[in-house]
Order: sequence, then C-alpha cells, then structure tokens
Amino acid sequence: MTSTLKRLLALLAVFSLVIAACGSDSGDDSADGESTEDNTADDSDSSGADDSDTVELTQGGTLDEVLARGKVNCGVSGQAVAFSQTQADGSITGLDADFCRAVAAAVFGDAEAVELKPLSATDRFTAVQTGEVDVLMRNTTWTQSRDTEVGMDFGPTTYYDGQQMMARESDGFSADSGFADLEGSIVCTNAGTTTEKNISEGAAAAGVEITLNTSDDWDAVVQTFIDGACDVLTTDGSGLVGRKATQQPDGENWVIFPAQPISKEPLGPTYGQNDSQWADIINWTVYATIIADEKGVTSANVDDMLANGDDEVKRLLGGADDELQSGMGLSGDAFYQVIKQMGNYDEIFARHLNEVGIKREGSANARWNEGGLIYAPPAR
Amino acid sequence: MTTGSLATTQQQRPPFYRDAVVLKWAVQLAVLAAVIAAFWFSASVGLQSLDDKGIDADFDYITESVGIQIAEGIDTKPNNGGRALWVGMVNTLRMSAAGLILATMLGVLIGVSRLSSNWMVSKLASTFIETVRNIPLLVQIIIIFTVFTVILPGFRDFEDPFNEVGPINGWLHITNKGVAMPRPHIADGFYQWAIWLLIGAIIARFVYKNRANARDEHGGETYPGWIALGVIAIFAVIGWLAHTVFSFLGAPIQTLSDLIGRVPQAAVQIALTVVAFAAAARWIQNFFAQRRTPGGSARLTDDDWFRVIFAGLGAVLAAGVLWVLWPGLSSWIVNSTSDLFRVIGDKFSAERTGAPLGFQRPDIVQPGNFANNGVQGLVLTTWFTALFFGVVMYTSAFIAEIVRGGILAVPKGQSEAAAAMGLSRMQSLRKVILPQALRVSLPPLGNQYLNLVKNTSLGVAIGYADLVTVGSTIGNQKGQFLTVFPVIMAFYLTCSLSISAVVNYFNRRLAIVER
Amino acid sequence: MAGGEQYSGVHVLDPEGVDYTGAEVEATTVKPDDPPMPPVQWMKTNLFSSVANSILTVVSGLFALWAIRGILGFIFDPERRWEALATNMRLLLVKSYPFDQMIRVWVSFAILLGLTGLALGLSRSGALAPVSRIASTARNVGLFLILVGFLGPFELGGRIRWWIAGAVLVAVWFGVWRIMGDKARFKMVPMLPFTLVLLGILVGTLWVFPYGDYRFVDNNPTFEAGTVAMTSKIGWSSMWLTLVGAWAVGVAMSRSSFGVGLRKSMPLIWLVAPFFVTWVVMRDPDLDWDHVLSTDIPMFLGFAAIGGVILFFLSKPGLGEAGRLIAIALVVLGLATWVFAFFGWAPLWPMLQKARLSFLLLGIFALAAPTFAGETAKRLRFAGGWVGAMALLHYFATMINTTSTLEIAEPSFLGGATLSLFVATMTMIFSFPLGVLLALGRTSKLPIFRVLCTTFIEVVRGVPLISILFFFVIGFSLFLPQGMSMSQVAQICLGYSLFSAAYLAENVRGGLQSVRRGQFEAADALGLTGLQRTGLIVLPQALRVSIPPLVGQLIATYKETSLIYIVGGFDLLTVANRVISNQSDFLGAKMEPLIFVSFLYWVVAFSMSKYSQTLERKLGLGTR
Repeated sequence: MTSTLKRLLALLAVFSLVIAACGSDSGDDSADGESTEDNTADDSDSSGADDSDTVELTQGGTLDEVLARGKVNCGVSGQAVAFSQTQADGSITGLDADFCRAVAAAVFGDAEAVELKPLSATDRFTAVQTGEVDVLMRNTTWTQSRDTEVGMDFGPTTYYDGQQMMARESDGFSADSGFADLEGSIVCTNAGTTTEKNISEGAAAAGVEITLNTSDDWDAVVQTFIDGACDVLTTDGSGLVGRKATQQPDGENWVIFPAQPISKEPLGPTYGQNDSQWADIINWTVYATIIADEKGVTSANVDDMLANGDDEVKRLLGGADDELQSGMGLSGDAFYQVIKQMGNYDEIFARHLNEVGIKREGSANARWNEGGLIYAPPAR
Repeated sequence: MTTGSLATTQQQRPPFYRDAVVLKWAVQLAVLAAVIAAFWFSASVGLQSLDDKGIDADFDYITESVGIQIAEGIDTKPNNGGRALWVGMVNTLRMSAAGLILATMLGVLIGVSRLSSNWMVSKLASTFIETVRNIPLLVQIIIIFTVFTVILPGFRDFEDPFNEVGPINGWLHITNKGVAMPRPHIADGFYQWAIWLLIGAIIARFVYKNRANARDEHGGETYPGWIALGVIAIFAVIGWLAHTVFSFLGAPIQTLSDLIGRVPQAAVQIALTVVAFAAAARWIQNFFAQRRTPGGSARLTDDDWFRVIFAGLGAVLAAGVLWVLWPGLSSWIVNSTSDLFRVIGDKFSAERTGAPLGFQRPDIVQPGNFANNGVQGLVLTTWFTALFFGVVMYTSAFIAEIVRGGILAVPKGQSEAAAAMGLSRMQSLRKVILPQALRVSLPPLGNQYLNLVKNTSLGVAIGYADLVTVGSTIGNQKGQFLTVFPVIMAFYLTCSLSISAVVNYFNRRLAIVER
Repeated sequence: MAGGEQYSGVHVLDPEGVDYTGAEVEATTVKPDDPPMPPVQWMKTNLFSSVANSILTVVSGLFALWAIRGILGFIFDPERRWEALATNMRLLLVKSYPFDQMIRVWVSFAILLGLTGLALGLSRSGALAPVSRIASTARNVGLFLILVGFLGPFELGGRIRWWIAGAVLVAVWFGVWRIMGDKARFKMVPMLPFTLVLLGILVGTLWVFPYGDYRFVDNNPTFEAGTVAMTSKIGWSSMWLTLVGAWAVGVAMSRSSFGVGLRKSMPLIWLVAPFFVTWVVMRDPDLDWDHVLSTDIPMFLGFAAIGGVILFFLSKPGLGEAGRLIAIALVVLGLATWVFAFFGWAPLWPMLQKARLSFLLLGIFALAAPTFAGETAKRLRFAGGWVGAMALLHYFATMINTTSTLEIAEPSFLGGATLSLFVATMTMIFSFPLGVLLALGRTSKLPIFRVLCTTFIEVVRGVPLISILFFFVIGFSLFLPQGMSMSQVAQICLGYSLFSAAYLAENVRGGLQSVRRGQFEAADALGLTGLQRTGLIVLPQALRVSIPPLVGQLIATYKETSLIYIVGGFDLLTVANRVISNQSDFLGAKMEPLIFVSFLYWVVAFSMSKYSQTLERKLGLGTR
C-alpha cells in the first residue's frame, strides 16, 4: 500500500509544486503582504474591465490603480514600422508609443512614467480584458464587433488608415486601377486581419478570380512581392507607403491604388469598457494634441501660448483654472505637460511618419479645416 | 493475496485500512475521481469565463460561412468552416504523404552514402546530416522560403513567358510562383480499368507463386517477379482497350446504394448495439477461458474483475452513445455508405467511356495583367515547395541516422558471409543487410514518420494553407480559437494513431520471437 | 594514482570510491590511429578506387565546390547588411534588458561558466588525443581556408590573407611531421586545455581584429571602425578567464576530500543554479529587510526546526502504525491548506503560498520517513535534508515575491536568447520528474493509473507541439480560477513541459522495461520498501539505459523552443525575423540575423550531441 500511496502523493506533490511555482512565478505578484496573499481573494490585477456580468459605471477604477502603481501600462506592437518599432537598444519608438507617453505625461506629468509592453496579435485583446495593460495602442482597427463583443471600448482615432493595394506600374497599374485589374493575379497580405476578408469580398463582388496568399510574416510577404512571387500586395495604406519609400528598388515604380481605399481602418487607442473616467483621460489626451495642432501650439511655443494664447488654449493648458482637468482626476497642467514633452499631433505625426514617406497633406489625416478628418471637440 | 480454491479455512483478512486490495482500489478510484473533478471544475470555470467575456465558443463555424479564401487546396472558396477545415486537412495529408515517401527515399540514400567507402560522398553526407539535424526546423523552413523566393526566376524576368519559362518549356516550369509539372490523372474509365488490373494482379500472384516454387525446387532462375509484372502489364493493356466491358457493374451498385439508403436508422442502432454486446461477451468468455486450468478455474484477481467490468462498461457506453448521445451517428453511417456506393456506381456507369488515364501538361495563362501558372498540370506553389523541402530534408537527416544505425547493427559476419558467397556489394546490401537492418530500425522509423506529419503543422509560419493555418484563420475571423483546437487535435491524433498502428503491425510481423 | 601507466580496462577507484577511470586509463585503451597513408595512395583508395567511385567523386566534388562558392558568395556579398546584425546584437541576446544593469547578465553568464569549468575540472574529464591528430586537424582546417581563399568573392588582398592563414596551419602540421620525433608525435595530450586555449585565441581576436564598433545612439545606428566596444572586450575576456580559472580550481581541488564532496553535490548545485541566476541575479529583487527579518526568517526557522523535530521523531525505527497515521494526517493537513485556499473558504486561515508549500512538503517527507529509519546519524541526515529543502524553498519564495529594481518594459525581463534558454532549461528541469512519474504510472500494475497515464502520453504525443502551445497561450487563462493568473512565460513553459514529459516517459519506459525481473525480486527479498526499490535499484538502471534517448530529447527540446516565435513570444527567432527587419533603418534585413540564429542553434545542439556520443561511449552502451 505504501508504495502506491507514496507514488500517488509524489505525483500530486510534483503537480502542485509546478502549479504553485508557476502561480507565484508571475512577475505580476504584488509585494508580499503580511496578511492574506490568498490568490482567490482580491483580484488585484484586473483593471476596470469587470469580469462579472454586472454592468457598472465604475468611477476611478483604472486611474486609481495607475496612480498607485506610478506608471501607465501601455500595450504596443514592437514590430510595426513607424507606429511602434523596437530599436537596437531596446527602446520602442513610433506614433503609438508616443501617444502612450502622452498619456503618462497627462497622468503623471512625466512622459517616461510608462511601461511599453510589446504584445503579439494573438494576445493583444486578452491583455486588455485581463487588465494586464491599461490601454492598448497597437494600431488596432475600430470595428463594431470589437467594440461590442470583446469587452473593450475605443478612443478617438489617431490615424485614419484604409486598405489599399500596391503593384508595379510596369505591369499596367496606376492610381486609377481597381479590382477589375486584379484578374488572375496572386495577391498577398498578412494573416489574421480584416484585410483578408476585405480583399476576398471585394474581388468576389467585382467578379474577378484571385489567388490569395496570407502569412504571419509581413516582411516575408513584402519580399515575395519584390521578387515577383506575389503580383499584388494589399494591407493598410500606411504599411504600403512605408515599404515603398524604403524598399522600392531603383528603376521600379510601385503604385498604390485605388486612391480611395477599399476599406476604412481607423486606428486608435483601446481600453477596457465601463470605466468612464479612464476613457475620458485617454480620449482627452488625444484631443488635446489635436486641439494644440489646430491652434498652432507646439512644444516650442507652449509656454508662450500658456501666457498669451486665446481662452480655449489657456483652458486646455490649465492656465486660467484647472476645472477641465480636475473633473477627470488630472492635475491642472496635465495637457501642458503633454504638449511640452511630446508635442502636438502634427509634431508626433511628423516625427515618425514623415521619414517613411507618409504625409498629412491631402490624406484623411489632415486637419479638419484642410480637408481631413482630424477634428476634436472644443475644450470648454 | 490468498489462494485456495478448495479452502474452507477461515481466512484472516486484515482490517480494511490495511487490506491491500481495498486500499489499492480506494486509491485508484480516489485518483480517478480527483482527475474527473479537476476536469469538471476547470471546464465549468472555462465556460463561466467565456460567458463573462461575452465570447461564444461553439461549433457553429462548421456550418456557417466564414468568408475566407484559402490559398491552395481542393476548394479555395469554402462555403463553411467545416469545408475549409477539410481543405486544410487534405493539404496536410498531401504534404505528409508525399513527404513520407520522399523523405524515406532520401534518408535511405543519405544513410547508405554515409557508410560509403568513398571519402567525398561520405563526408558530404555527414556534413549534410550534422548541419540539418542541429538547426531547428522552423528556422530552416523560413530560410528556405526566403531563399526560394529570391533565387528562383520570376515570370517578369522573361520577355515572352509563354515560350521561355524553363527549364523545359511546356513540361517543367520552375519559377518563384511555383513548380509546374505534367500530371497524369484519373479520368473517366479508370475504375473499370482498375477491375482489369485487379484481375491481373490476382492471376499474377498465382503465377508468381508458381514460378517461385519452381525456382526453389529445381534451381535456376525463373524470374518470378518479372513474369508476374508481365502478366499485370498484359492485363493493363487488355484493360485499356476493353475497359468499358465492366460498365454493367454500374446499375447493380446503384441499386445496392438505394437499398442501403432505405435501411432505417433504428435497424443500424440495434445492429451495432448487438455487435457491441456480443463483442464484449465474447471477450469476457475468452478471458474466463484463459483463466481455466485443468484443476478448475483459477481464482480471479481484482485486476481481472476490473477488466471484466471494463469490458461490460465499454459495451454499455457504446450503446449509450448510439442511442442517447449521438443517435445521428447511425443515420450518418447509413447515408455515408449509401453515398459511397452511389459514387462508385456512378464511376461504372455506361457514360464512362473515356480513357482510364489522362495526361495534362502545364500551361501558362495571362487572364489579366500577370502571367501565371494555369490550372493544367500539377502546380506546386512556392509555399508548398518550401515547406516540403524543409520537412523532407530535416526528416531525411534523421532517417539517415536511423538507417545507418540499423545497418551498423547487422552483425559484421553477415556482410562477410555475403561477400564469401560472391554477392556484389549492391546485392548484399539489397538482399542481406537492408532486410535485417529494417527490423532494427522500424520502431524509430515509425517515430520519424509521426514527427514528419506533425512537423507539417509548421506551415503556419510561412503561410502554407495546412490545417493549423486554416484553423487559426477561422479562429481569427470568428474571434475564438477554443473550439477549433479539438478538431485540429482530433485530426492529428487520428493520423498518428493510424501510422503507429501500421508501423506496429509491420513491427510485429518482422519481430524475431525472443526466447 | 599518477600518470599513464595503468592496467587497461581496470577501473581505478579512489579509497573514497570515486571513480577515476577517466583520462589515465583511456590513454591505454584508445585505439591507436591507423598509420597515415601517403596522399596519393589515400586518394586512390578513398576517392578513385573504381570507375563508378571516380565518377561519384568528381560529381560530388563539383557539387561541394559549387555549394561552398554559393555560400561564400552570399556571406561576403557587399549587399549584405551585416551591420543590421551587429548593431542589434544586444537585442538578439537579451532583448530589452536595461542597459545600465547589463552587468547582471554578465554575472549570470559568469556563474554558469564558472560552474561548467568547476564541474569539468573536478571530474577531470576530457579525452586525450595524440598530437598527430591535432596536427592533421590543423592541416585540414588550413586546406579548407586555402580553398575558401580560392572560391570566395574577394579581391586579391583578401584572398592572400586567407591563403596565408591556411598556409600557417598547414605549416604547423608540416612542422609536427618533420621536426618532432615519433614518440613526441604520438604523445597523448588532453584536449580540454587545448580547447580552452582555442577559445582564448578566439576571444583574443576581439582585442586585435578590426570588427568595428556598432552602436545605437540617439535613435541612429553608428559605426566606428576599429576593434569592438570596450564593454564587449572586457566582458568576453572576463568570461573566458572565469571559465579557465574555475577549471583550474576544479582540477586543483579534485584530489582533496572537499573537492570530492563538491563533485558529489554538483547535480544539486546545477539544479539550483538556473533558478538562482534568473530570479535572484538577473531580476535583482529589492529586499525589504524589515519584512525579511520580521516574517520570512522566523517562518523559515519555525518550519525548519519544528519540521525537523517531527521528522526526526517519525524516522524512529519501530514506530509502526502511529508513524504512518501521523504522516497521513500531515499530508491531509497540507492538502487541506491548498483546497481551502483554492476555494477561498478560510479567511481565518490566510497563509502565504510558501507556508502552504512547506506544509505539503512536510507531509511528503513524513510519508517517506520510514525509508530513512535507522541509526541516529541517518535520521539526522534526513532531518538535515529537510532543513536544506526548507532553506531553498523559503529563499527562492522570498526572492520571487519581492519586487524587482529593474525597470522592465516587458512582459518579462527575459527576451531574445535568454528567453529561449530559460524556457529550454525550465522545460528540462520540470519535464524530467514528470516524465519519470508518467513512465512509472504507465508500467504500473494498477489499471486505472495505467490507463490514465497511457491516455495522456498517447494524446500528447499524437498532437503537434504548435497546437498545444496555441492552447496554452490563448485558451489556458480562461480555465484558471478567478484571481489566479499565469504569466505568458509560465504558460509557455507549462505547455513545453507537458509535451516533453510525454516523450521522456516513453524513453524512460523503454529503460524500465529493460530492467530484469530478478532485480525487482531481489529487492523485495532484501526487504526494501517500494520507494527504496524504485529509487535505489530500478530507476538508476533504467535511467542509465535511457540516457542516450534522453539527451536526444533534451536537444530536441532546445530546438523546439524556436516555436515560441509562432505563438508570439519574443524569443531569439522573433527578434531575428520580425523585430530587426521592422526597424526603419534595417527594413527587410532578414537573412543576416537568420543565419546568425541558425549558427547559434547549431553550435549548442552540435556540442550537446557530441557530448551525448561521448556519454554513450563512456557508459558502454551502443555496443551490442
């Protein structure tokens, strides 16, 4: 009897050790308290994303945790050119990364009080749902199903993108080409995204036969296009422009078509649903940069504007009173810090996207009064 | 354990908390209960979390449209998720079957080369093996794919692709859009022709045995193998010319299919239940018979009772499945059998008068702006080729080592005796050494086959549309992966168990009966 | 026991029973090399012995030349962007570990190298080889370098450099043949110091050869011609010095009794080392000394003392039923703490996780107590083992549960090569006991255990690893009870461990089946308990037989860690294939990092497989 019992208990012991070690192994363990460290008790890791069925308008769930923690957890990609790419020294730069830093500047007054967590496509949503990150800036498209079915809410769009295709001019393509010109071609795109669905639906609607190849590895896909194994590339326009600017061989001209994208891909921040205060903070950080851009407030002249700007600017920067900011739980100079440390929307945009050849003028990302869609509600 | 079939003495049974039998079963049942409880608990937690997050995990995607397009396969625009998964499965099977054959051939070749007396050949082989074995397969696949797309020429590089694409225009086109080669394919008259071949094979077998016996008795070479092949060839030729003879089979098979289709579901259920119970009863009967000795029945141990109860429970479980859990199974069996016969009958119908085999040569088309491989012939896309090369090279390195080990395990005396008998090196390899080496290397070889099938799942990294790729695409589109996993795992499990069963069968046949 | 004059085949044992059958005896049992043939005759027999052979030689020779030329052309092509690799070397190896704390990474590496050197020195391992064989290896390498000089796409200056390097090595061989006498030429030289010297030369080239200094400053990659950065030079040189120093210390200590004791406890040190290196050195826990002194240390002392007393009492021979009942009660207590915590039933009994673990361990040790019944010294050793186990458990638990001083911007401070190595090591450590238990369960006489274990093994082995990983990374967190969370790295490790354990179970099962029935029966006849029989008689024999396939499985595990790329972890392959080629300065540079990664994997896997062959030879297996 004893041998079997021992064997059994040894088996159980090893299993429990493994599970215990893994359970306590997570770097998320809070500091060892003297009282209960009971794992089933308070769910200290979750943010405002409530796991139960009740729909509450929780006030201050995420903001309190963030303040207690001392930094913002921001989910990014780490592999997206110009939006969040990992540099050789491990730092992450890009449009999304800068907006993460802007949120940190708003909450803490310090743009570096942020932890940028690279997430893959498979776990980006679960990270928000479980509260592992407070906000996700991972060039995620705002769609209805994502807004309603996955327990997340979306902030204002930081980049209006759209799906487009790219082919060579020497193959008979121009900016006016459309689906009809794709007959019999091999189209390549990246897997697991809405682009697959859009292109096949579009081709079916136009009645053309295409062969669709998808892969997880966007660089490999671009390489197949360069070598000719793929005839046409398709993905969001920002991806295409960047690659064309840096990888187009001499003597070739890649055209991006159609001029009107075949789908709408509004990219913006995402956070857990049902936390209005945190939602306001993220939304108004983005809006602040847009308003600053509209009013001409830059990181260079923000001090001057604080003193001499018009009323709306003063309210935004917390010059006259801090009513707008304190209502959200932020300090008065929150948005002043954002502009000062990170710059306005135009500066952030130019810093990262211009060098891969993406410009604001003439695109959906121009100012609202210059034909684009970048529009913020007034700060009053 | 006490004995005593005739004992009348009062056995001193220890108290229950020290009785080995009781404790043994108590512990086992406790562990079983704990395991079941753990599964139950985690399942309920899982269902609860899914509810909370508002994710609906169900198997609806199998019948719903998923709106995806698959890059290659038998059906690139599947109507529903089930069909898409089936296309993925076929792709996996295609890759695995072709890979198994080629990897074995290549592996044996490299393994034998490694033992060659030619220094250059053996060094090349060992360099290949050592390099390929020690780099992870995933890295190799990615490198091969990248290299392929760069090295192979594109259609764009030719002035006149229709006539210039090589290496053999019209027969073999190798470009970075894929490899196109001629394809012999099954055409109309194939099944009728196959009956001729079957008859030819049966007769050939008799002829073979006949000639082989003659050779054994009288000595001298009677070429049994060649003559048997000749017989089959004769029948093949006759069949080619006269295959329509068998089209009369079409009508009977169709009526058979109709008859089967009329069988009521309940009949099948009852029949299967009876079979299940009969099998269990038969097994139990045999089991008891085994335990019988001339002196009377041996006393059954508790393990034996466990087996008996298990057999009975198995039958009850089968009945439960048939009647309660999945009654549709019986009607599915009926319908599928009837469909099968209908399809076969259709192949024999009087309209099938074409040739048994057809031959397609690859062509190049340009329906729009781009020149591409057409649908004629066998077109292997770049993704397929890259994954194929990677998997075959990797597995063949391991097979080479296994073959080498097998050959080295054959006692040296065998090759010396073969040489003494005057056999050339090739003959001794073929007739003496390799058959004995096969016995030793079959289990690890079977293992490598399993690994090959499972390694084809790495196609997801380069975008080859195998089952895992299609499954994860469906998961992405529908937003939930959880219900796709069981399908994927069940498929691979079936493949693995089948391959293991086949390998075990051959293993048993080849095994030396140990003393 | 000096020098090379030993009787061949005799096992040389120290008075303490330490087996010195190693270098010295091998010297006389190594097969002497065949006398070298003159080159023409060698070519005749090996290359051109018959017409068919000659054709084969020519064809394969041409193929080999074409392949080498292609590879060299690729590597030295001016279009190659090797600076993408050089600038990102740190990213590849440690991903985003904070730069100012890199010293911790060096220290960890130094610890591991030091342990390696110590182990090598203490066991006085190392094959011998005659000088002539070393010389002929040098000649072969020299000839290859000359060939490279011919085939590579260099301009004349570069070619001449390759030719000179090759010629130097050939001259070494030539010198050995002409100058040294016969006796000196066939003298046996230990290979290990020789390898260390080679490594030293390799490290030395860092100081001399102008590789170039690649840095990333102000978001721009920079390049300075000249030798590498000072940090690299000093870092790698100190690593080499640690290795050599530890080896020397080990050799010096190997004869002393301290050295012998150290050698015996090497496996335990190796087991603890990865945990120490990862959780203490690289993570840098920020100890709160107040808390440690007030809670942690007293808890440890309490458990150690009280547990030790209980165990000392329980291992008293002749205790009988009462002892077993107390042991069962302790086990029930340990399990109860877990169950209560799992369901959150006992707010009255809040307990730190390590306390629960300690209770459970106490129960297990108590069950095993009758095995250690005997005289006082043995019982004291048993209690001492308990104290040691408690020390390790509480030390690591405290370290893990304190925050780290690192400002980590990652899901984990591990990334790149460190993540791959970490996952591989944890898998090896955890899958091994699990695999042994599964194998024991599969060959058990109890039907339900057998069925359960067999089902598990067959299902896990029949399914591809990628699907198991997908399940664990994506779906597993849904099945964890409320409040329990598992970091992604832990989930990945769990998936790998379960997969690897199933394969290991099959290997160990083969070994178990090779143990003869007589051994079991003899153990029973001697009165050993089941645990003693399994642990002292059966498992050692079974494991000895299954070591070659076990090492093969370890190599396979190490290679399989590349699959983390598919599930989205940031391991070596992800950084090479995705991250580097997405940097705006190196857009699309894939092949260079990929080649480097394959080289890294190849080096480690090749060494492991060579070691496994040596191990096989040493254990005397593989001879039928």
